[in-house]
Amino acid sequence: MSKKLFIKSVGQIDDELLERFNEIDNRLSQKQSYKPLILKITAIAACFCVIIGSVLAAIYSESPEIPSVSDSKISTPNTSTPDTSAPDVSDDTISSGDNYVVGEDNSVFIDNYDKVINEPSSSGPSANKPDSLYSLYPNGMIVVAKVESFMPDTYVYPGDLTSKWGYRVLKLTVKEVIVGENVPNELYYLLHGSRDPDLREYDDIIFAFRQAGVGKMVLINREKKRVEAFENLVFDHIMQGSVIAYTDGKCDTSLFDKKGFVGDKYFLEHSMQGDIENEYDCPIKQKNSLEVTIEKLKEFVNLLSDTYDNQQQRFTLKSDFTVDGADEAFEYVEPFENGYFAQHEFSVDSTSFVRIINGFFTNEKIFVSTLESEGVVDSGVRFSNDDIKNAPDIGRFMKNFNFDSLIPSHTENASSLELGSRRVSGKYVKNGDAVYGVVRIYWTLWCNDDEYVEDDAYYVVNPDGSATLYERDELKALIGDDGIIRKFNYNEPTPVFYA
Amino acid sequence: MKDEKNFLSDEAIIKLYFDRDETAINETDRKYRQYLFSVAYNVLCNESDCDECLNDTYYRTWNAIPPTIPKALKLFLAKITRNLAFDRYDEAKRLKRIPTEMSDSLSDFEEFLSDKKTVDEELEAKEIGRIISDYLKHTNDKRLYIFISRYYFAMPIKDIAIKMSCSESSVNKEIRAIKDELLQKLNEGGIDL
Repeated sequence: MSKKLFIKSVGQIDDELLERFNEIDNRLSQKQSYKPLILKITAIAACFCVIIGSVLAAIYSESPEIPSVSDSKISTPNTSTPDTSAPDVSDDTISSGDNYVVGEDNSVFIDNYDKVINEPSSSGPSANKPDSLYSLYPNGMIVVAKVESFMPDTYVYPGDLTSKWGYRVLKLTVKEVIVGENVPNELYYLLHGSRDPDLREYDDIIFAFRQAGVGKMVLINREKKRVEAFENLVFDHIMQGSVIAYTDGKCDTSLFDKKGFVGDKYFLEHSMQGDIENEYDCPIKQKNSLEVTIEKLKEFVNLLSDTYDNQQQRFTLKSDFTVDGADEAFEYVEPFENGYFAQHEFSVDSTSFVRIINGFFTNEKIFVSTLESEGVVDSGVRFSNDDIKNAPDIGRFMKNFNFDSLIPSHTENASSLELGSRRVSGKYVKNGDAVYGVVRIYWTLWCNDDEYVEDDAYYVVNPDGSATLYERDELKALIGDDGIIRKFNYNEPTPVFYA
Repeated sequence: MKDEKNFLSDEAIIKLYFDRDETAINETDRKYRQYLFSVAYNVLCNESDCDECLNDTYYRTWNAIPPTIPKALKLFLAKITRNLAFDRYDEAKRLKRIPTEMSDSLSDFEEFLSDKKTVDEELEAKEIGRIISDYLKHTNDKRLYIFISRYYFAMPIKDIAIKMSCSESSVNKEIRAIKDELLQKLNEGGIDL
């Protein structure tokens, strides 16, 4: 019997057994709280830093002056001259801040791809507030688009240098907007690297994005080894039915055979079949032409719109950041030398920004909400221009350090264990007046076929490019309890498949 | 109707689905996200995959209710999440997208599990599922709980032990017993191991 068959077979067990299981589980839960798992889940959630809905309100303004801000929550660093140096495209790793360039024309990045590489410049249009927001209904925005091209390079988020997959960027020409407002003619779609980016063969694709905000976003170009900023970039997890292809006006199910367009067999067999069409039915049918599908989608939207009086409040996003301090906050996150702010998380009624220095995240964050009760909140950390200028060079250290030679020090017999994975990440942490460049190396090591142990090491980068090794407690004393310090127990085997 | 944690009751959430009120998804997420995340994470060990898995779960739930009226919403969701997670795991494994730490072990049953492919897995899975169900129906609560926790929801032995207020070795002992009994049932059922 194959393992897959066993898994599948277990999935076939009767519902009544699951109900019996549930009853037992409830009884056990009443007996005692389930702290360990809750703690584990909380830890996972704390680490769960999927970056969605990304907008960067951070490109060079023509005037690099930083506005003065009266709100006590928002302080402002000094002004400085934007970086004008050329990108170092030959580096084999992310390098220092001097080599990071965001060119003026990269707002439409793909069109200017070569130009950005060869002729980087220092100034650009004024930074935008996140005002190009789309109506979110029922799934953010729905467009019919043609995939024109996709970037040859892969991208990762700042600080994530060892990501296995990275993302690809597709250029979409919007042909029709089914749901949404202020949708530009061109969109850039950030697609996870595990998915096939080449969707050019289809005449039309319906894309449904939940993400409402589209603006500017910072990513690391892994091939070109530099920071790049994108405009009109959309990122969303693909959900069933959120990407449907059409050729000659007919539904083209070959999309579902493409790498990474997952879970759509179910969608094909159930939601896209059948003749029953009522208010609960999926508006996308395999038998329907693109034209009919668009009609159905619009009807679907209207139907729900009629059903709910408060549909607009519920589903339409507006740039209604009118809370006290919002304007100042948005001005503050406009860019200055190497001090980009990337939008880190975007939700229906709030947006938050995190500063990026030299391609690495920092612990400077600002949260802006549309809700008066939340208003503008920040992490209490401010990087001044001097901080940025004098920040230790994490990239240089990473470039020069031989991570392969490093043996996890907290694991018994580590050198005899099989390496499962190793991730290296960096972050700038300001604590008090001091700025630290912290590099974390995280390993998983097989202790047997079932279990692995975790280990980590932390380096704090010195001004001369060298670095000092720290134990967790020592590092915590230095930088505070920052999220870069992981919290697992050493030498504690963790089952991988748990089966 | 809200409980002490300010979560809507399952009945109220299901009603929202029937009303085609999208807050149903928010309420589901609020109430069950942690639980469903743990179900998916036990299988996938990858946060972003889990997130996608949960999104797909919600979408599928939205499409399924109505007409379905789940008897137990938590289980209904968990079942969807579990199956999606395994599908995703399987796909990732097929495409060799899983890092080495993600390879499956199933070591408890290692001696009769292999990578051998079968001709018609779907049919065979149903038949084996029937035998497993039959076995579980006649076993005691303790073994049923351990089996489903471990092989359906992929919970770590340590967590099962904590939940059951017993030692890990006690859980392992039960697993060995389950294995022996189930092996016998499968043999009796003519399953080629």
